[in-house]
Amino acid sequence: MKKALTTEFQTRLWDAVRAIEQDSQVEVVVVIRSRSEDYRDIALVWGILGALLSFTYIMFSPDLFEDWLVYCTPVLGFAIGYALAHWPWITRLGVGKQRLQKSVEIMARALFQKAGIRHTQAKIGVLVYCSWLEKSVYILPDRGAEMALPAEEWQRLRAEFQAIFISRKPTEALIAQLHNVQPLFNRYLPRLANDINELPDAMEIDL
Amino acid sequence: MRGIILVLVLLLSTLSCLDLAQARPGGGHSSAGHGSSSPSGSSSSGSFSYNRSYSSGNYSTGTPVQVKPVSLVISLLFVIVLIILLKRLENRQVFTAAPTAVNRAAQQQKIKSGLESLKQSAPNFSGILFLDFVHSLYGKFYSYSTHPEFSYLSPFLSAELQQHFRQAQPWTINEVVINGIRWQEINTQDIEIESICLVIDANYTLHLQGKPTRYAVTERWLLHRKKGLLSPEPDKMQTLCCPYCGAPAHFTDAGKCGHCGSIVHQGEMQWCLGKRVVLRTTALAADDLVSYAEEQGTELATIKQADLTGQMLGFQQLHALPDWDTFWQAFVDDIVKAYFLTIYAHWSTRDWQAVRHLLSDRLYEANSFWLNLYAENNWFNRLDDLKITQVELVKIEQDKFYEAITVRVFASCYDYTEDAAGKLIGGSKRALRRYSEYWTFVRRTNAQPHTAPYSLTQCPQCGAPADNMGQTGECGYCGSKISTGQFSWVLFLIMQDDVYEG
Repeated sequence: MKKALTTEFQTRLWDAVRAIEQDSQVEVVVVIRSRSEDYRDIALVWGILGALLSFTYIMFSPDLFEDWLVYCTPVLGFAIGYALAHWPWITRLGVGKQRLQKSVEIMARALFQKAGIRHTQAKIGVLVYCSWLEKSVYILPDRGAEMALPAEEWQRLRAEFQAIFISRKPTEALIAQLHNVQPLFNRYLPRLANDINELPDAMEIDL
Repeated sequence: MRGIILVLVLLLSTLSCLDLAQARPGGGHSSAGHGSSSPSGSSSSGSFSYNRSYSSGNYSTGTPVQVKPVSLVISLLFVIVLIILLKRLENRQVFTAAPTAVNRAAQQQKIKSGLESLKQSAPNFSGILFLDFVHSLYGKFYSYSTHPEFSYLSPFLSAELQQHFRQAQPWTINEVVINGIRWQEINTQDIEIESICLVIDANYTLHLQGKPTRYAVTERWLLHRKKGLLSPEPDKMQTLCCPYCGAPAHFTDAGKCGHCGSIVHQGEMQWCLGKRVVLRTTALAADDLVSYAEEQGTELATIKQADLTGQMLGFQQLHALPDWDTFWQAFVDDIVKAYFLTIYAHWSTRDWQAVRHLLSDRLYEANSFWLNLYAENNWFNRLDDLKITQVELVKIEQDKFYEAITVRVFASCYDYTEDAAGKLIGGSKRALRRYSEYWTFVRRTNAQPHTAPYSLTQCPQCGAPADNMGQTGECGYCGSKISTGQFSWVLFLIMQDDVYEG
């Protein structure tokens, strides 16, 4: 993920966000995280599995092992299993889809609160949260924005954002999708005269 | 559940790879008493006996695995290092869409075009005067907030904002200090109005039920006025006053001036605050005075005005200078370096009044507040061995009333805070701090150029010693207001290198 977040991408992302905000009342906040949860338990499970497998091998292998090897190999097996679990696809393999989605939702709601997106007067803040490991986008609109667009539109919008992870370049797809939703927000929440950006440009979210 | 299934699948796969018929603790052969035992039973009861037996040499068949302990330790270390590296690579930080340097540069360019457009449609428009006006309005907005005097501001506030504090508790706000104002957006495209959006960093003390709390706030203000309106003269911009008679703002809710009786509608004679939002609010503690964050931004490239060469040429022609270098060298030595060293020397000794004539009203007030806080704690912020290493020209701006030169000053010093007894409170007396700041100097366009060398200890108007400057920047001998830049350069703004945007 780190590689994808180049300055060039950040510049274009900001331009896309600004374009939406200058065209409608909506205040869009895009947040990207490498993962929504530590999944430390999953790493531990992989570690234990590694230890168990190596111990099983030691126990049942036709080869002969010295005492210290019998003791140390499971430790190494644990460490290898634990290390392997840091690869996203291995973590995903160990976690159910429901839990992945729940983690993303919990993090999105925490970000929404912590970033103060609710602090717009007309409640028109919209959080677009992308979680890389879970390959998931969570759209969280504030009350005003949610009521301004029909539920059907939100549903479609959520599906379209989620589809960015089908693309080979999710970052590019994200920017394209942000440009795509610009007319939609303009249609339902057109910009008013004397509109002011109510959220800080650079948000520091300590989570 | 998925984890358990995975464990079972992998376990079974491993076991299936092994020859279970022969598998047993101490495997590798079919010694009596072990061959028929179940794998689980064998493993639970015999693993250690096998190894003990192997060690003692009872089992002689099977392939002994020769691994040196050191190789296993290396493998383990390798895996641990791998885990640490992977954890670092994970990047748990939250990435939020925010403007990059490229976005900010583009925004600055738009602001510059907007300012030019404003100057064209309203030749009296001056950015410096506008900021002074906002400064006055900001101070009054908060200090009047819940008091009856709030209605005095009616021509300068939208109808919505006039009701803003109606429901508030009867608090009192004082010590309103603006630390920085940044241009955010200028809109001249609208048919009827033109608007300017600013971001203001400020502090104030709120007294609620007798208890004071100091807050640091960041706000976004959107001001507008009727399109093509001619800005008032400087004296009517630098204070909140009636645009007709010039008397201090004393309006009724309907916008009727208490002095001349003229009705002033919002945005029709002067800028009016249309909207405001609070972006951040933080309660401050005394400890914040001595928190020394690591220096940031010194290594950043200098942000220079796009057409700086053209501006230099324009400045040179306007003042009929024979060449730029002559002016620049004198400016650096007599103004930049002299002001920088003098101002910080007096900052260190908390003798701020001694440099009153070198500072704009806004800068003086903002820093007086901080020095008063140091004084309350009997602390001194020392800047020992202060040296200027480099001065770079960054920007030249001119309008009908003012001209401004911004420079980037690179310096180094030992920056620390100590109490009156010399006890170190914060910072370091040993670690040299290298830093840079953007300093903006302004003066009136009709200010008489100096022929004699500058003297920082004299009033630039009457030449009397600058030891009798009032709080408002008026010379105690000749009564001239020095802090407006009417007679000489005054320091208008100091910006840190990591927040300067051009």
